[in-house]
Amino acid sequence: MNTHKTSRNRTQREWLGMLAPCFLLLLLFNYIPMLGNIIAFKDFRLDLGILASPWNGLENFRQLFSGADFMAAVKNTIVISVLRLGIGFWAPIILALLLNEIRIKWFKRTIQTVTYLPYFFSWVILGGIFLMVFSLRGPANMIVSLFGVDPITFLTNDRWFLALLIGSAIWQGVGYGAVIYLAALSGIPVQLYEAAAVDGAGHWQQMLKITLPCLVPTMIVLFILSLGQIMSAGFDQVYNLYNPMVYDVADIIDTYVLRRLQTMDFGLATAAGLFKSVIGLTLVVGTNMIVRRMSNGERGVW
Amino acid sequence: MDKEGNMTYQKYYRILCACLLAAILATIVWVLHRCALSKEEVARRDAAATDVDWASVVDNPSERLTIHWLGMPNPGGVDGGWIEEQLEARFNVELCPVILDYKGYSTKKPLMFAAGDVPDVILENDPIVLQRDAFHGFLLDIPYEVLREHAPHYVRDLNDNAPIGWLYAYWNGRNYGLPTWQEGGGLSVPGVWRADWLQAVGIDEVPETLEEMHEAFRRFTFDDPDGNGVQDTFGFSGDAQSWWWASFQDIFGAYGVTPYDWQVTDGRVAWGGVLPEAKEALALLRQWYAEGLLDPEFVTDTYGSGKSLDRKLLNGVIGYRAFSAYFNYFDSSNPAGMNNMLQKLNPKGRFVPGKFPIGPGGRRGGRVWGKGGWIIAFGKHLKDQPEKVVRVLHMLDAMVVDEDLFLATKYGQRGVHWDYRLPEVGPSGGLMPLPPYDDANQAQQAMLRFYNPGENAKFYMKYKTQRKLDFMRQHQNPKWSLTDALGKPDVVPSASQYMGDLRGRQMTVYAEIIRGDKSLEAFDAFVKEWHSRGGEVMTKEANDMYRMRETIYRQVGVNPQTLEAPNEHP
Repeated sequence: MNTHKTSRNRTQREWLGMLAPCFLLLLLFNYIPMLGNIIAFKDFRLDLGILASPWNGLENFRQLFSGADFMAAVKNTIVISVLRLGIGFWAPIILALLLNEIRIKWFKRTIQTVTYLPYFFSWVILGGIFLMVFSLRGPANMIVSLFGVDPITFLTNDRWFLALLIGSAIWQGVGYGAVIYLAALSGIPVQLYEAAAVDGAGHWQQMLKITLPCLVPTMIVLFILSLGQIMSAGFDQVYNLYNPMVYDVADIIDTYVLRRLQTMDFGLATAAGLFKSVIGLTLVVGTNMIVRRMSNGERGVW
Repeated sequence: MDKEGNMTYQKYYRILCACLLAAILATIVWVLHRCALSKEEVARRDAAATDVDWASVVDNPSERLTIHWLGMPNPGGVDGGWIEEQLEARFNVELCPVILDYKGYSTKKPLMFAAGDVPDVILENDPIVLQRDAFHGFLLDIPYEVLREHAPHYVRDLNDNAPIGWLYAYWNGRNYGLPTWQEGGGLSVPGVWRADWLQAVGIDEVPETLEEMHEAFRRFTFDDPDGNGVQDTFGFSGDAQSWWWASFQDIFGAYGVTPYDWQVTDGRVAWGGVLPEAKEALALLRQWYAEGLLDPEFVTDTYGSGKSLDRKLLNGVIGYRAFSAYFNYFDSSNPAGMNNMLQKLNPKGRFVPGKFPIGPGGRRGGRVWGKGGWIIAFGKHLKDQPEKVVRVLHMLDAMVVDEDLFLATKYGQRGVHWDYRLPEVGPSGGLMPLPPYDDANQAQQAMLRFYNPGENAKFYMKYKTQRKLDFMRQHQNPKWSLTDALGKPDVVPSASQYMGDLRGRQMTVYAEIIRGDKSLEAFDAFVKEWHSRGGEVMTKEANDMYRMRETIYRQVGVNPQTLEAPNEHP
């Protein structure tokens, strides 16, 4: 009994030892820099450093919220994110379900690779391609003109631009998102389907009654995690696609912060970033709490 | 009993933890509070820190000084090389070049500074950057008398040619460096026309008024100038986002406005973009857009070598482009010249330099940056080694006066980096880079121009070819140059706070008005918005600076007679 306990302690110590470097890294690069957030409350000057710079109270926040630019950026960020989440959330689920139904192995793999591939392209490259494809004389408008429709200014019309932004984000992320669901799908016990088949459930019913309910925990986790990103509307993508005609809908918090950083207004930039993080954290914690309440503590990220 | 005891124990444990946490937090807050300086303390330190007794500074030429030098953007640059050796030997210095590419000045430089890595000599590209660096306490302020004493020729030449540069180096009551200037910056740059298109649609003369321009654009769009039987051409296009200062500048110029600059109107400084004349120009552009003469892609098109506007001009999508008539375009000996490139694609194609169209009030012209350039600033840590500042000032002064040093630092070594194009004619035949230094990358490696961003009017003219001088005289009359009343629009102190956002907003509203997404009356709403979102503050500052200009000029010894005429708005 006694020897058993010490050996268990030892393994635990070993595990903790293995964890320590990672924890140290996390502490060093993710937690300690968080202390820098006090810049948001300071009249920050680089030569004085973070600690010695004089306090500024809530002046940075006052400047942020009194300027029309920041509020517009917040609104745009939320609009883009909600649209992206509302539509884009279902895309990988549908793709995973469809892939799951394919029986021909090589076909399934090809489709998976093709849908997965865009995830690895940088938006600098994709941006260039999109600007070309959706320009006035680009391939997209050539196709449109086959149907006798006048050329569409995809990139400079507010609504089309939003559609393009969300559509391309989904196109880029759908394959990657589907991988997680495919993993979840492969974890569903085959016996469930066999029992359902014996009970006379058809293909469609099996999906509705078995597959989808089994995916719900994964969906909830991914949903909560993506809520944390709701204040990030995809900087790489927006920055590489936008132009003055769509600033009204496309100027997001991150592009605003970039402008502030370029003029070395670190106080304002940090305040904007902090605001963004607090909202994200609140959403994640809040949603998780609601989910736990509703499921009697069985579901949720933690 | 046991269970109950456990509970109390847990309770105490929790309270203890909470107390500990509270104590730690309180300590952190207290420490943070103690570490932070008060604003008064910061102001006091600022005032004290820059007190250098310049009069007692002695630069001993026999003492070898090490100087870290952030020069011109030079992505391919390397430490060492001929130019560096020349400077090191002559001035007894050890040069350590700090090399950045153009983008690095806005991305990498702030991080370098934040990490405490501040060079001795810092070339600042815009007043807005200098002001931020000065605010963050990285720059040493240098009184005008010091510059006049140690770089007298440089200051005199600058005063005679581009005194406006002194505003770029000014922040918060102090001078933070030595401005540079560029002789060519004062020349106007008209547009270019497709001569073969003009001919094809029956126009013999290069258009000279807005009406003639309108007619040419109309025929370019509807009369099939390229003769391919398809209506696939436009009169012109623009750049609504990045090159705000180049876009439609000839059309705005015909109404006497520079929409992204400060202008003097009725003795006061005002923002060009909110003047009624800007609205008139927009009304015209809007009408031309509605007629189909302006390529709808002007919103996403971009200026710049190899960018979409270059392609459209070469591929015959548009027949005119503003701000393009540079000699290089028409230099038959330059294979990358636009005319040569066009003829490779289309043997009949030919560009001709245009003329600024005359507007309804008889005005014409186009916006240029003017002769003011960058600013050579010094790291604040040099307050403890002011002799370095003095040595650098001597170097810069020599580069302006000494023709050999000017040539060496700009172009390198004769026979290695460059030679006269026509050895028997000498300088007036022009210079040409020798291979491999005709390649931009190799030129960067050789550190050409890195240490010498300055200019000398006399040398500038001396080493230009006659053909280039003729071209400039004929087509680039400085009379048509419209410059900012303060040189660069972002010299006003609040620019870092408002200018970027307002400029972006203006581009959006202008593009929307031109495209017809918004009514012309949206301009009036924009004017109100512009003033309320920081424009009013900046306008006040611009007027203050404009008045202060005279004071600065007096202090630095500018001869009032040589003052450039500002962009007067009648």
